[in-house]
Amino acid sequence: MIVRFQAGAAEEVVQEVRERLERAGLRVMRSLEPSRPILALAGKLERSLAKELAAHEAIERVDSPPVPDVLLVARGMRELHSVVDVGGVRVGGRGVVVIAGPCSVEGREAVLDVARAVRSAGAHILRGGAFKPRTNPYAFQGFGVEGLRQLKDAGEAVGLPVVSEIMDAADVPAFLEHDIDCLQIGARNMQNFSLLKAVARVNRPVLLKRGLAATVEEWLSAAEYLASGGCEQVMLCERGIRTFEKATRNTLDLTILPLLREWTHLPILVDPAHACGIARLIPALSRASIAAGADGVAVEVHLDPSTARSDGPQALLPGEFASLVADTRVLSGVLGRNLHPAPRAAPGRA
Amino acid sequence: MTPAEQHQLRALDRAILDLVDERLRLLQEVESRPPSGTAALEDLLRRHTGGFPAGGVRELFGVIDRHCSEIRP
Repeated sequence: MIVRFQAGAAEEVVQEVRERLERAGLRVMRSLEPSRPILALAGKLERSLAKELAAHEAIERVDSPPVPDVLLVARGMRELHSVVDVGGVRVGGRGVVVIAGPCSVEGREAVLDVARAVRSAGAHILRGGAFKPRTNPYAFQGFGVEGLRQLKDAGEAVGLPVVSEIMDAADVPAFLEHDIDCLQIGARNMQNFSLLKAVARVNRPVLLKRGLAATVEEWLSAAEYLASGGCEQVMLCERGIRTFEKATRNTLDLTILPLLREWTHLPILVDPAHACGIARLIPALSRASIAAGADGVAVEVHLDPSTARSDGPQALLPGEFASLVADTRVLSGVLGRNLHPAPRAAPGRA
Repeated sequence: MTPAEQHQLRALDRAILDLVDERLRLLQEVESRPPSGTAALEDLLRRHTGGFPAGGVRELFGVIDRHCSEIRP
């Protein structure tokens, strides 16, 4: 349950209610919302206590969250949708962001070339995989820690924050050491609960992709793991789900975007590349994602997709990516939003 | 005009204004001055197949350009 106090409710009253609830065996968590106190209650709220809360003069209302016991990420825990700061890029709110980069970090020069290309085309965050979750064990598995270093160096060289996928809790220190601005938890690890707990503890921005067969309820529950573990900067990323349709790699589930807006305050991104697996479909799916309410899109860019070490067929060329950014700007304007300003380049970097 | 048509007209006006604002925002972001808009405007007119008259397009973009230049730091 979510207990929303009147604006300006006295702190001692809130504390009194909190203690009363904890004595009743409930786990009580407080929202980060600054404008009024909001408490989340995990556990079974007895009817008599619920009535007592509803009648309390300092309490505006008591709501059930859309998904049972998904509390901290529920829409009702915030007055406005939350904004996550990824190395100076604000994801969520009015601005629309574009994340781009190679599927895999393929070497120092290669990632730097793509970083320059996406930066000049208008990307806000550089993506790149160093640890690759591949279906086949003989496929390229990524350069690991060396890949993280190359990605971060490329991001710093062009003045973009970076996001990269983490697959193992043991790698958290390496991500921190290389100052990776945002940790991505991929579709296959969405319900790797020990990884979620380990990542939550470091309280870095997290991009949580939807599992390939995960319901919205399961996805939001995974986000709740992060939030309840101490991560205050969670972003969701829809990337297509497994359906009976074989014409595309997955099926992009845009249906849930407006619903997620009602159910959660978290920023929502869309990865149309993994959803369809076909580069020429990505511009249309990106536009559809923004129109359906996404806070941004994440796409893959490669200078020569035919030689890419992973997911070449879904990589855009730099020129195609520049057109996508231009379309995103126009569409954002029409929707009363705007493309997020380009990140400021660090002095002496280009 | 029906209320639905009036509503559509207002939505279009809002979109035009939002796009003009977004154009200004982009200009404010870029550090170097953009190239002259004359060639770009003529290119735009060559591709323009709608009913809005060419003279009107020139006038409209002239006003947008002038105001954006004045506001731009």
